[in-house]
Amino acid sequence: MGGPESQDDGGDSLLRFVDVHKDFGEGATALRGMNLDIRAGEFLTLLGPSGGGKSTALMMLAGFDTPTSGDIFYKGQSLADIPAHRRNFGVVFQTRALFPHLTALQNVAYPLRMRGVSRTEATKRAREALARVHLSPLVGRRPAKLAAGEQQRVALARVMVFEPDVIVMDEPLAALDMDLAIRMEEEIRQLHESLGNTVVYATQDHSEAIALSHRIAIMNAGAVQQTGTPAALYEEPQNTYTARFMGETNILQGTVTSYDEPLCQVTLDTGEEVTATAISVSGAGARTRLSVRPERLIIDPDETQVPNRYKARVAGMDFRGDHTLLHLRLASGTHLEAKIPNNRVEEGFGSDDEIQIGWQARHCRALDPPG
Amino acid sequence: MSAETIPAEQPKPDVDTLRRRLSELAHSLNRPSRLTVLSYALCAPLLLLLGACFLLPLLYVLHTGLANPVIGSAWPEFIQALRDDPDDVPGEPVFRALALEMQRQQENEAYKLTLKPFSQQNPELWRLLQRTAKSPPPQGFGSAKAWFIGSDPAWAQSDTWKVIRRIAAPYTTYNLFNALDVTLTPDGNLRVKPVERRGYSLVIRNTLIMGFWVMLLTLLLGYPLAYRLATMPRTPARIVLSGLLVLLWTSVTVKTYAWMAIFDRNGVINEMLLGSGLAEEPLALRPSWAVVTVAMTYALLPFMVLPIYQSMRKVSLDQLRAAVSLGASPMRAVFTAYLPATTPGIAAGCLLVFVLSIGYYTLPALVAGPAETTISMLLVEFAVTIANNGMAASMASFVLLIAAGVYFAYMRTFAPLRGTITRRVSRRRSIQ
Repeated sequence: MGGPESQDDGGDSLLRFVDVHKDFGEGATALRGMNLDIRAGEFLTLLGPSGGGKSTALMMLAGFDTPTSGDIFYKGQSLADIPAHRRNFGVVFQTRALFPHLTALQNVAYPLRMRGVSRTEATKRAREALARVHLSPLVGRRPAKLAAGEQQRVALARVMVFEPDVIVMDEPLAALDMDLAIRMEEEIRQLHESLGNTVVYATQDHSEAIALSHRIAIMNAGAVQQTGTPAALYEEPQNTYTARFMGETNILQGTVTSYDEPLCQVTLDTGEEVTATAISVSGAGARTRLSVRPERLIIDPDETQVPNRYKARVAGMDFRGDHTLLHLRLASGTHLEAKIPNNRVEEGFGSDDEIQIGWQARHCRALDPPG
Repeated sequence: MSAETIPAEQPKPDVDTLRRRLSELAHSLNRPSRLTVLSYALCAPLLLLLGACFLLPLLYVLHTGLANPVIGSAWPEFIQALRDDPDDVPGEPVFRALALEMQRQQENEAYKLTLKPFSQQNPELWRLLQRTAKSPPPQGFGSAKAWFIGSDPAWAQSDTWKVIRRIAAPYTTYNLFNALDVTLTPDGNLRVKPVERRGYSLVIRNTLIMGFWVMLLTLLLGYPLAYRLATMPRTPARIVLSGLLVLLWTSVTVKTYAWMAIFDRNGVINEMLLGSGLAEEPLALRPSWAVVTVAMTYALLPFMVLPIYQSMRKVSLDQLRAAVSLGASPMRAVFTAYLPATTPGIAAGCLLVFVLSIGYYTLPALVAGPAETTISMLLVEFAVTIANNGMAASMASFVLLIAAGVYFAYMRTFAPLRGTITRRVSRRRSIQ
């Protein structure tokens, strides 16, 4: 996925969340100081678990809700006094929210009619928008007679047709079957590439976020945990939460014994010595969690290249289709998972085998302490 | 050398065999399975009950409204002779049969009842018959026709016989037209009764107008109530809903007497008006159409609220949000997104309330006076007091017809919202 490479915010941001808080009263807090910059034309995804504050942030961006404190700026101007219907932001809902009494065509023409476009012109443009999402034969149907995927395409067309400044999508694929969601993912990406709108997208699914986004903002507990390109977040997580949320990883707990920028030595609670890249380590004696992605585990590592090498027993193997997941147990009892190509298994690799495993220091990141 | 093996050509399946297999397959699919038969058998008691207690009485009522049984069964010889004679003024055999009937009437007092249809449908003809019967034809007369014409020249007029033929027919539209205050001239033309003699059509009109007002009032009261219910948290909404249901479960009589206590001459309202000095003497609030309408509105409110509430529950907050985000001001969003999405509920509620209100009996019968007669009160009057089953059945048929008409209009308009939308409809309202 191509896209802006730089991670840091610049002064050219289109949308800016500044210390946004949202309290729903009775101690329910949805956002606790959200800061985020969104650039013009980028596809930014808020990725996080439900209850992480994604939806609240999007609803405030669309104008359906107001921050308790803090502010959202669009082109440097506060959105606080601009009501939702004057923002010219398009919203795609998880529930699709089509108008049941209107046909697909009438649904798509609706935003144009609300903007005073003539009936003929609105119909013409609605037809074009529906053709772009491959729904031309179904323009006369009402939502009840459309399949879920078709409904979501109508919702997309309805938003695209009035060329909004920002498109807000709140988990648009969450209610769809997996293969349909994957096809829709592809369509959304193509539409974004051809139209170039700024898109703010929310999802709980990291693979969806990775496939679609230029940048991802990991959200948890009402704040942005880390922002970056999908590759940066996956390979260089700054905290355990991000490391876990972006994909499968081995988390090992230990204590730092020596600290020598950029590396550190960690003694695991189970006794092994590990050389790791120090990310958020305060110094020797600090507690830390190590993260190693399972595909970074090396079977029979080269002694001169790999500092971390251990004896392990294969406790189990899961066939996963495009790879095989190995469950490994070190002598101390530490459990690790490794992804290996299927052909390694075919070469004669079985359960209960004693093997050597290892990983590079740069693939092992010493992150925040447990707890 | 390596000779490539040419694959042996597949033997083409015999077309006839294929066709036979296909037809076998189709047959096996069409044959009702044992389960289908069983399910019909399980439904049989219900179908029998529906047929015996609903369909047959319904057909009987429709038949009664049109049937004209008394003369046909009472004067069989005369009717037969009349049918055999196609002339405007019939010949001797018809007059002879009539003379025999009259002689028999002379001997049997109870026989006079057979003249009832004449008295009901055409008083002039009835008087003619009475006059003629006073001096009955003598035994063993020569020409019956000559005697009749001699006794009254009206017997020679073709109009007289047209009316007799219509009354003697096995079926008559007399009751239906009479219910609308329309009479038939001897030539078969329709003539509306003069204003001062109209009665039944006024009852029908007043009932329809009242039904319309009740529908409008329940809608105006019910829509905001349903909206409040739909937007309430679940638990309080349930409590209010059960309150509405209690209103449904309460006996109509109890509700009616409550309204009588409120609107009576010594009722709550008059007491309050007198007590506060707003009125110096009790007002005659009851009976009046206003009180009937208010009481009916109260009784039928749940039938309006429940369908609207159902349709509102289906409209998500997201639909309103979508409308706003697409550029509709909040007010416009309500009128373009919310109201139309609830129209099926509004229509269903209006249908229910209107149809129920034009057929309501107990409440208007107790609350209303003679000036506020409704269709169903008139119907009961015909069926019970006057024992004119034909008119009662006609009235019932009208209620049925109006209800069916309203329902048909509802289905035409709102069935497409739920089912397939036909090309024609979608083209007609191509955009908003």
